[in-house]
Formats: sequence, C-alpha cells, structure tokens
Amino acid sequence: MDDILIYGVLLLPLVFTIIPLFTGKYSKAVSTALSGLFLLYVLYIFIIEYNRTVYYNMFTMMNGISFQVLLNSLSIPLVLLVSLVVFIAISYQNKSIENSYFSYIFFLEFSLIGVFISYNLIFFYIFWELVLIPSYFMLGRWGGPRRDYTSLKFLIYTHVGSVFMLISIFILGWKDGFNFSYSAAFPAIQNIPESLKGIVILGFFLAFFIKLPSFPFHTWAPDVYVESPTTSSMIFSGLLSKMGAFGIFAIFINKNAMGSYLPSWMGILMIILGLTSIVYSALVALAQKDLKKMVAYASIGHMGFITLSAGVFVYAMANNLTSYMDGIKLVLAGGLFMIFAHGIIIPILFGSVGSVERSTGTRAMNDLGGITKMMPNLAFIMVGGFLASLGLPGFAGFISEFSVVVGTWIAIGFWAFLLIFGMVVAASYHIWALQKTLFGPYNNYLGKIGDMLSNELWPLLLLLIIAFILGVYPYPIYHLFYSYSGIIMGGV
Amino acid sequence: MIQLWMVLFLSTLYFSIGIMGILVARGGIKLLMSVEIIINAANINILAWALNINDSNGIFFVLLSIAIAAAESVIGFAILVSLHRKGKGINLAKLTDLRW
Amino acid sequence: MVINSLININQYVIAAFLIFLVPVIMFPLILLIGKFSETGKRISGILATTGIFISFILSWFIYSNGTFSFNPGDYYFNFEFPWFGNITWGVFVDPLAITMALMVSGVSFLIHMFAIGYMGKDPNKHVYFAETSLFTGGMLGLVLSANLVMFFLFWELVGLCSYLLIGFWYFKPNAASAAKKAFIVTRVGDVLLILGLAVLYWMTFSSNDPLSIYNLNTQIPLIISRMHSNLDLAIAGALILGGVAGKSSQFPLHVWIPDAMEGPTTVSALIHAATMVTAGIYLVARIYPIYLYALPWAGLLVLYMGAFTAFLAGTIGIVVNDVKRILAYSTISQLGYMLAALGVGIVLGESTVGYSLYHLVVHAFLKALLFLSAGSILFMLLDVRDIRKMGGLWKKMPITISAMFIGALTLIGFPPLAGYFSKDAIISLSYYGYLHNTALFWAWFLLLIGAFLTTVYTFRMFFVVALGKPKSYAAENAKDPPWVMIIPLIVLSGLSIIYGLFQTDFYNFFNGVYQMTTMHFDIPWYIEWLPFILVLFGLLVAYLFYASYKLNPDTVARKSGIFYRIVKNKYYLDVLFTNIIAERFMVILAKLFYAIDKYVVDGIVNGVGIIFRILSEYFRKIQTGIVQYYAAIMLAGLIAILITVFILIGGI
Repeated sequence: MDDILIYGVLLLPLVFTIIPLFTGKYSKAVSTALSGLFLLYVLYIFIIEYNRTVYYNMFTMMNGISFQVLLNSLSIPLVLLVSLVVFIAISYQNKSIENSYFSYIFFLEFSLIGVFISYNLIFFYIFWELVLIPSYFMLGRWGGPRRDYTSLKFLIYTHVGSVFMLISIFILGWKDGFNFSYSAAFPAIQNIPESLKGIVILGFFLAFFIKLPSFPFHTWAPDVYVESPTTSSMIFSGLLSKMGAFGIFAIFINKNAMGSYLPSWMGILMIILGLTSIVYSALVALAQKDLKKMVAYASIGHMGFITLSAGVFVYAMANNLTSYMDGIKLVLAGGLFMIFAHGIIIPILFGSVGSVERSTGTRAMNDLGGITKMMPNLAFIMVGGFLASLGLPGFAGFISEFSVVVGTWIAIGFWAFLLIFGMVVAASYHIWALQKTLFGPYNNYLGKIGDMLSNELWPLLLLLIIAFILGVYPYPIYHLFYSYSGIIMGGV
Repeated sequence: MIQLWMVLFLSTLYFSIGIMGILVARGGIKLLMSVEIIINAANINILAWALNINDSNGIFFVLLSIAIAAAESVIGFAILVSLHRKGKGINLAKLTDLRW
Repeated sequence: MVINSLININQYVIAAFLIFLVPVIMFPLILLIGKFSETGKRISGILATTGIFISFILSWFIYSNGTFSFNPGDYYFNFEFPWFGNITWGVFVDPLAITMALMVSGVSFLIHMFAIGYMGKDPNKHVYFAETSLFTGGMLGLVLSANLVMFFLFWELVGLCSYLLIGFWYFKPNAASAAKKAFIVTRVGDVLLILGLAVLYWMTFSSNDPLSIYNLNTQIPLIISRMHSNLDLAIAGALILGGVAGKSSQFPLHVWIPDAMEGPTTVSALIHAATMVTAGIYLVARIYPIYLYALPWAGLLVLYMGAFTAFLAGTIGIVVNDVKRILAYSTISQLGYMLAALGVGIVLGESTVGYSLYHLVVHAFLKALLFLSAGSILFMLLDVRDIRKMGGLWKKMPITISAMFIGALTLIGFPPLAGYFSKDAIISLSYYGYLHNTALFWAWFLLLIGAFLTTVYTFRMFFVVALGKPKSYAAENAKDPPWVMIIPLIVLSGLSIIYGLFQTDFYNFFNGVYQMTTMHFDIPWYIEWLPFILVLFGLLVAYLFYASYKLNPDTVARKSGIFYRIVKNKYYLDVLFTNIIAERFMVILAKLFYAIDKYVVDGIVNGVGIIFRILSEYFRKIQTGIVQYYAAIMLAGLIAILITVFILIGGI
C-alpha cells in the first residue's frame, strides 16, 4: 500500500505533464482540477503517514545507484507545500496563457518532489538539475522584457553551484564503492583525505547557498523573481528556494549526513551569512521603487532566518553548548518552519503585486497611491500578506522568526541587535510600501481600475487563511519539524 | 592462399585512402564516400580477425555496422540534398552560416 | 493535554477563554455582514458593543465568584496547552489580570457605545467596529495570556489594530503617514521585547513551559539562585522595557502617539489613552519579579524612564494647540507616573504594583472621559481640532463641557476626585522611596513638577475651550451631542468622581497577589500636601494666563526664546527620528546598499560572465567550422601521441 502511494506522489505530476497539452481551451480548468486532486492526495498521505518514516527502494539502476525514496517528517510537509503552492499558482494563472505553461509547472512539481523524497545522491542530483529545465522555459518564454539575460543568468548561476555539488557527490560515492545512498555515502567522508573533505563540503555549500539564495550568492533571485510572470514568481520564490533550505537541513548540517564533519568555523560563517542576508536585503529592499523587486528582496531576507537557525545549530555543536539542546531544538524547528511559512506567505505577496500590476499597469510605488479605494479586496489581501511577511504574530512567519531570534541570543549575544535592526527595517519597508501603494489619496492618473479577479482573490485568500491558521495553531506542521530537529541532532 | 596480413594490409590501405579523402575532399559527396571507405576498412579488419579466430560475433557485428553506415550516409545525403536545394552548394569550406 | 494547570477545566476557565474570544469572533462576523448587507452595516456598532458587553459580564462573573480568596495558591488559575515547541498558550487569571479585564471591557464598552453615535455617518463603519472589536479582544487576550509569547501575539495584534485604526481614514495623507509612524516606532520597541523574551527563554527553557507567566512569577528566585547571576535578568528587563517604551509611549519612543491622533477620536480614547498604551505598564507589572530580583539598575531604569517622561511630556503639553494632542501628551505623562510607581518598587517591594494599577484604572476612566468629551466637541465642530478656534463652549454644550471639567479636575488630582487618590499617592510613594534610597530623589522631584505641569496644560486647554467667546463659526453653532454619546460621558464622570472611595479596597485586592499589606507612608505632612499646593498654584497660573488674560502667554513665549522653541519643537525628537534618521540616514544607507548590491555583488557575477565572454571571443576563432582542418589536426595529434608513447615505452 505504502509503495503505491509513493509511486503516485512522484509519478502523478509526471503524468499530469502531458495532459494540459491535449485539453485545448480547457487546459487551465483541467490543470486546476488535477493539481487540486493531487493536493488532496498528498494531504491524505500527510495524514496517514503523519510523523512516520517511510523508506522504499523503487528500482535499482546499478549497484549503489538505486532510486531510494524516503518520506519523513521533513519531506512530507515539503511535498505538501509543493502541491499546495502549485495548486495556488495554477488557480491564480489566467487562462489566456499557452497550454504548455501548465505542463512546465507540472514537470517542475515532479522534479521538486523528486528532490525532496530521493534518498540517493545521484537521483537527488538528477532531480536537482531537472528543476532547471522547466524553470528556464517558464522564465525564458513568458518572462518580462529582460527575460533572455535573466534566464541565462539563472541557469548558469545555479548550475555552477550544482556542478560543484556533483564533484562532491562523486568523491563521496567513489570512496565507498559507488554507493550513493545517503546512508552509505556520507559516512565515507571520514575516509577521505582532509584536502578532499574541504572540496566536498564546499561543493554542497555552494549548491545549497546559491539555491537558497543567501548573501552573497543571491543576485540571481531578484532578477528571476521580477522578470518571471506572476505565477512563476510564486513558484520560484515559494518552492525553488526551498531546495536549498532542504539541502541545508537534510544534508549539510544533518548529523546523520554531513553535520558531524563540518569545520568548527562553519557555524560562525553561517550565522554571519544569515545576519548579513537579513540586514542587507532589508536595506536594499528599502531602496526599491519597484514593488515586485522589493518583495523579491523580502524573500531573500526570510531565507536569512533559515541560514541563521542552521548556523546557530552548527555553532552550538562546535562550541559544545550541549546543556542548551532543548532550546536549540526550538531554534532548528523555527528554521524548518520558516521553509513552510515562507512558502505560504511569499506567494501572497507576489500574487497581490501581480494583481496590482495587471490592474493598474505599473509596479512603481510612486505611480500608485490610495488604490484601496478602487481595490478593497486587494487591500485586504495585500495588507494581510505584507504583515505576515514582516513577521507579525498571528501569522506563520512569526513562529519561526521568534524561534530563530531566541537562538541568536544564545549564539551571539548582543550581536543579535543587528538582527533586530534588520527586522525593524523589514517592518519599515513593508509598511512604507503599503502606505505608498494602498493608502493616502487616490492617484487619479490611474483612472478607473477594477478589483482583483475572482481567480486571483480566492487562491490568495486561501493562502492567507492557512498562514493565519498556522500562526495561531502551528502544531500540525511544527510538531513534525520539531521531531525532525531531533533527527538533525543525530537521532534516528 | 590469402594470408591474414594481406587482408589487414588491404584494410589499412582502404583506411589511409579514406583518411586522405576526408582531408582533401572539398565536396560533401566525396567526404561521405571517404567516410564509407573508412567504415568499410574497419569492417574488413573486423571480418579478417573474426574469420581468423572463428568467432561468428564479428560477422554479425559487421552486418550491424553496415546497416548503421547505410543509415548514417542516408542522413548525410539528406543534409547535402537540402543544402543543395537552398542553393548554397555542397562545398564544405563555404558553408559558414553558423560560424562565429 | 494540559500542562501545569492548578485546576481542572471548569466554567471559570471557559469564561476566561470566552472573554477574549467573543470580541475576536465578532471581527469576521461584523466584517462579513457589513460587507454584504446595508442592515448589517447599521447594526455593526450594536453587535460590537454587545460582544464587548458579554466580555464585561464574563469578567465580572470571574471577579465575583469568590475564587479570589486571599489564600496563597487559591486566588488565581492557570491553564495551558502546548503551542509550538515547548512554548505553551492558555489563560492565567489573578487579581491583576481580572482588574485589567474589567477595566478594558468596561471602558471599551462605554467607548463603543459612544462610537455608535460618533461613527454613525461613516460609510465604512462596519470596518471600524470590526477592527475595534478585534482590538478589544486582543487587549483582553493580552491581559489574560498565560505565556509571554502568547502575550506578545496579542501585543502585536493590538498594535496592528492601532495601525489599522489610526489609518482608518486612509485617504487622508496625514492619517496614512501617522499610522506608518506608529507601526514602525512601536516595532522598534517590539523587536527589543522579542530579544528580551529570548534572554528570558534561555533562563527557563529547561522547564516544560518556558516563558509562562506563572513560571516567571514563581520561579525567578529559584533561577537566580541557580545561575548565581542576575545580570541576564537585568538585561532582559532592560530589553523588555524597550518594548514597554514603544507600546506605552515612553521617552524616547513616545513620538508616535501625538501623530496617532489623526485617527477617529474614539480610537484615540480607546487605544491611545485608556487601554492599549497601558499594556506596557501591565507587562512590567505582570512580570514584576524580574525587576525585583534583577540588578537594581533595571528597576531604576523603569523609574527614571517613567519620571522623566512624565516631566518631558508635561512641558510639551503646555505649548501644543491641538486639543487631541494636548490630551495625548497628557496620556504620555500619566503613563510615566504609572511606570515610575512600578520603578519605586525596587526599593519598597512589589506592593507598589497596586499603586501603579490604581492610577492606571483611574486614568483610563478620566482619559476616556476627556477624549470622549473632546470627541463630542469635534463631532459638533466638524473636526476642528485647534483649541484657538473653539472658546465659549460651556454655554453651548453644557453637559459635554461639564464632563470635561470633571475629567480635567480628576486629571490634575483635585481632592476628593479619584485622581487625587491615585496620583498624589504615587508622588508620596516616590518620596517615601527616597527616604529609603537617595537615588530616588530626582524621580520624586520630576514627578512633583509633573503634577504642576499637568495642571497648567489641562486647564490651559479647558479654559481656552470652555470660557471666553466662540472664535469660529462652528463653535458658535455647537450644541450637545445625541444621548447615545452623552450616557458614556455621564457614566465615566460618575466613575471619576466616586472611584477614589475604593482606593484602600483596590490596594488590598491587589496586594492579595503578593501577600502583602497596604503600606502606610511615614512622610512629613508638608511633603504629602506639596503636590496639592502645586496644583493650586498651577490653577492660578492657568487662570491668569488663559482665563482672565491678565498675563499674555505670547510675551512669555517670546521672552523665553530658545527654551520655547525647543519645547515647541518637541525637543527636536520628531525631527531627529523622522527627518534625520528615517528620511536622511536610512534612505542614504539603503541607497548605498542597493548600489553595493547592484555594482559590487551583482557586478562580480556579471563580471565573471563578461570575462568568459571576452575570452570566448578569442578562443572561438579556433573553431573554423571546416571539418577537414579538425581531422587533420586530430590526425597529427594522434600521430604525435602515438610516437610519444612508443618512445616512452621504448616500443617498435
């Protein structure tokens, strides 16, 4: 029973890939229905496999390279997130777009799920790279005016990181007789020479931190998020960056994988990168005049919390803060929860900005103003999304931000003031943007504009409600991550 | 009696002719012919050794090779024909559309 | 699963949850029915008022059930559920919490009733009532929270409601920018508070409900003895005080409240005078053991922040002309008194919490009264807020101005009104503290001067508004508002007059928390009466300047020159925060970082790309596209390799 379910998780999106091509003008409706059904299917698995670990060897390609699948308390919520965001994005998309767009989305969903459930480094890598193909086309074909430059930059930049990871994977696999399974490949680090160990760690580090994206490897992200069509932005920011986060938690700092072999300064480095990401992206976002670009930098800022929480854990391990482990668990769970929270919240922001752009024809904050008058529904969604994004309690983001701030204090003491400075600046630009676009007197040059369309309103409202529910009752997701943080610490 | 070295010599001769053809040919047809000659040289070589050690695998492999060579030359001719139709001629040195 | 509950679930626990859930549930209800029907819009005010009345009844139910006997361990209940990680949520009820709940729901009920009249003609009034209802629910949740993280959730929820309600008339540019300012300034305090919670978390993380208020109130001495240091506690206290400064608008984060007066007056009365701004005071009282057991400088910080703010805001109040802003500065000043009373506790023990809270409750009544009467005036004068355009209103709207008169007398602490018992007690308290610890002298002095300043600005406002001749067309045609707005004024006036009777009872009810008896100050009689003498003197000054016009305030202003300019410009703090930090420094910093991002970080990335492109420009020339060349080179290479290999292995 279990294995059939797992086949479905992976293969259904692949089957869905071809369906929209043959459904003519109904492709949007069909895609929405399919992704909705798939969401329900994943939800069913989420419930029956709640807080359980399912391991399954799907097929063996050759000795050591077999398609092993692991569903655990990290990958199941991520698969749920993928199917949710894909469903939201497809529902949001207006139906005038070509059918193949939906195919690409389903293919992206397939590859993302593959990344999250593979338990073999070779397949992990294959899916990791497979993600680039649909994203490249979604960006390159339907993107904004600078799409050629951006799609190439995106492809090359993230591919450079992946190639380094491939080298690391090969070093690991070769050392242990071509066995690329997680359980066999990572213990091999002990046997390789010191110089190669550095290369292995560097390879994974680059791949994950470029994909996250973390400062200073973040510059592809604003371009990509801004140039993509709205639904692609929702998927890219909501899901693609989660691959990096997944890699960090499941591989990079995980005591069962690479965590035990990290150099002692890695914790400090990650804390610095995380803090810098938060403060830096907040300041850069403050300078933006383009609403969508501002949201893109906000997204990078959120990723800083993930780096920070992972860094606190590595730091605590290196500095032997073992008596604090109960609290460190909360910090890790906070970072993990940020994956989910950010995945839900950032599509709301991109979606509402997309609606503003569709309705008014501009994204420049200075050209907008007082549009609450014309778009009350949009104002509701946008205020909700922005407040959730700046970490207001009552929304999912707060739960993780609080957990991470708690951890920062134990690791770096008064340097945490940098973090809260970043949080204040983040609040400022969010509120500033709201004031400039939604409030104040109506800018009459915009003429008479309509409110959000219903296909834009309902998906975003659903996300907002989920963000709210997870903000006041995070238990179903948070509990999984809390138990997964035990695994990161070396438990089984 | 035909010795093995004779056949191998023939094969080498063919091969050299083919290489020479590739190096000096200007036209596409000649080039394709040269490629065929080289493949044939290889086939003869394989056949000679197969008969020498009495292994029928070699014979079948040569058959496979011939089939593939045929397919390959078909594709090659198709390209040349379509080039010719476009009025660009089949002088290989002058086909520089995709260069730089 | 229930953690650490002293009682089983019973009707009181359910009532405690319902106290804050009922108004919160009203929020979507009112919003939806108001959006889809006109009738819904009309009854939205009644719905919100009813919801809050239910909360008030439930609070009274818990208050009067007799659970609060003075047996230790019997007078409160604590009920917690797991929330996330090892953080819990739930309700914690003790005299402190239930007092606040009664005050918040009661005052909020009266203000909502007033708002039915005040907001009656607004096309979006369902949004208004939904938001104020949510605010009241948030505030009640805040006072009943069992855990500081849950407390923080409601703390931000009320901040959010404040933001939304200040910007309720979003089309007014001033309102939009005031809302923004309020949010960002309080956010500065809030992140400090989060950090304070982080520090506290690491002191209590090993228990099964870290940061629970029950834990913090009972375990702090144990923690201190375990850690052998109270420095962390002092740091936590100072950081939390940052949050208090933001929410309760203490120096230097007080700058947002005066701007927040752009919102509807009922919002100012409810949020920025009576309830939300007292949340900071409540927080300090709620986790008072932290300050009690920390290094003394944390408590002194509380004391001097309060005392200095009381003084500073009083001086600004004298020179402001906007009727609502005068009241706003008055609020800031009175909050300073409450905080100072808490600060004295480090010398005199935790029973000073009662003094602070008593002033808090009295202040809620009188400030709601003052704001509502100001609201009635603005309602009738079509939102003219400058006191110089009013005048002679006592004859035009006698009930309103009489209520304002009672509020003003209560505010300055004129015996035998409630303010006398609450405020003068705090001044005496600080002097009594000074007798124990000389570090408190300046606090007493600042509070004493504050009492004088309070009188001057209050009666300056009152005389200019009520006496003389009407100075505008609108003032000439003013009359009393409808009954729905008058009733709350009368109720609040009554409370302001008689609440002084309950002073001792209040202290006793409170001190039950800490098993302490009410203090009797042993201070000289002339010190005890000094505040009242200053009040009389202040009345005289205000009368001479603003009622009889024997002295001209403008001449004094001109003569005092630079001092007047400094005070008039609010000590240049607004200029510093808004014009220098926010608009210059931050904008330049942001532009600088954007430039770095664009030209350095991204520049390196693009630079690498460009380098490869330039290199490829050269290297691509090797690829001539002529296959024969490739073949020839390949052949030559092959021959070369073969020869090399043969030479190396010595073959042939």
